[in-house]
Amino acid sequence: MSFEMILLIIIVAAAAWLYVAYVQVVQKKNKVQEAFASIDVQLKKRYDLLPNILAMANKFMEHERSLIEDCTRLRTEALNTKSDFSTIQEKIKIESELQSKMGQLMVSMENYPQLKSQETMVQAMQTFSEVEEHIAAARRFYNAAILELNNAVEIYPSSIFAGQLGLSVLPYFEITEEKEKAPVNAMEYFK
Amino acid sequence: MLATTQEAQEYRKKFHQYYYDRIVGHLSAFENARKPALSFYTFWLSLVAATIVATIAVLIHLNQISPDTCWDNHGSGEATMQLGALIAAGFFLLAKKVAKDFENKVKTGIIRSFLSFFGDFSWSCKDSISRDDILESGLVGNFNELKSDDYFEGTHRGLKVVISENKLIRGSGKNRSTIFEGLFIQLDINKRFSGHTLIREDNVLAVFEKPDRSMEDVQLEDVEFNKMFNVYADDQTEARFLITAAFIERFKNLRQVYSARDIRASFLNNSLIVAINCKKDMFRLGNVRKPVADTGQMQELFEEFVAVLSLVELLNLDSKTGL
Repeated sequence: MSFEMILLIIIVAAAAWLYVAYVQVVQKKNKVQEAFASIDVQLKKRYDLLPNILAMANKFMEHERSLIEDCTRLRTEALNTKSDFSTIQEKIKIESELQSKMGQLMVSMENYPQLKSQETMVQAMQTFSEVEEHIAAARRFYNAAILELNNAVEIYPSSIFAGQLGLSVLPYFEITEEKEKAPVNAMEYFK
Repeated sequence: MLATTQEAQEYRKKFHQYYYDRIVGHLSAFENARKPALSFYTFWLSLVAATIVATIAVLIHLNQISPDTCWDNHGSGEATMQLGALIAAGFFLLAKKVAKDFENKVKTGIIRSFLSFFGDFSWSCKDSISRDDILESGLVGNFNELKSDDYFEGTHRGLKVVISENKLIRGSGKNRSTIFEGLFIQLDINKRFSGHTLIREDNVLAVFEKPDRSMEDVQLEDVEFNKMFNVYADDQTEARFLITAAFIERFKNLRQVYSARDIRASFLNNSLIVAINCKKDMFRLGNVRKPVADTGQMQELFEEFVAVLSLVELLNLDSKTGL
């Protein structure tokens, strides 16, 4: 085998290796987008459900007005925030706050037996629990995709292509408080 | 197989008394039927032994009279061996049939009393989980023959439970091989989902058993679980909705609980099918060689059944959340 032939094989192999690295970065980026879209779908379900819950809570929970208002405000903010890479940080922050406030609201509901006995509220809470589980699942999918992408962004040679594609290390969708990492099981407050 | 769930322990406490109150009374009738069955069984097995001895004697004789041609291709020695093996196998199958018939007779008579301890379960030795359900689940690859043994159906903790003992055979003739021998446990679950999620053990054969292309590899957060199992799903989010951190912990312990060689699970059509490949004939009752009143057999059947039902508690399937 001639020297030129060996050189050609090495060049082709190197080019193929780089192409595979490039394709993998693009695939990982797309996977993150898919995961983010999946979170968005689940969050939309939460936003649709919240007005009903808050309206019912508003009737009975006179002493929790500020908490209900906070939830309403955060829902509106979340709805108005665009869902793309540029706003991920902001979106995660609002969602963490909203989940935290909703958790507080659930705990407060303990003090309102009349509200707890409302059939429509029980049903809404059942749906809410299910939606929260879906959100938790979507968040896990997103975090797994982020881990893969961040590795690609930080490790050579994929880091070269990540830079060219304008990708940087992206934040995980984390809930701040340890106890809040588990999905909210609203039904527990209705036992 | 020894389940250690709280429910299993409660069952154990109550079953002892139940056995003496509701089951022992039925056993004496079967003990009378066992004696003639055992005679037939022994008779056929004696014929197996006699055939083997006779074949060896003929082979020695043939070797003495014509030592040069006896072991040639298609020689008299080879023909004698084949004939002997065929006759012995025939007698052995007859002995097995006698034992199986007796087992089914005892099961038919006793199992209803046994199962009523657990609720509304029914038993059959003819039914089976359907071929379509097995294939659709993606738990095993294609197979040619579906052999069924015990089949139980009922409700446990409000969930429909189907337990099917099967043997799956692939290929034909000399290429026949058993690809699965064990239990398919089909359980309805309280979570609504629309896709397909598959959990398979990660072993050397996993490379050759890729599921269909619409399913993607799912990497979960638990490193140990990822080493033990491969997860495939057509919806990444739904897979994580079904396989929660709690489910992962519980599923990791299953192989140990069931002493299984291989354990797999498939979430499809709002039910979960768990395949436990244990290469053991389970749910045996009415061993023709043992007295019907032998408590060991009943104890084993009880433990096997409780272990399967414990799956609902082990995997927390009856709960609406936290699966």
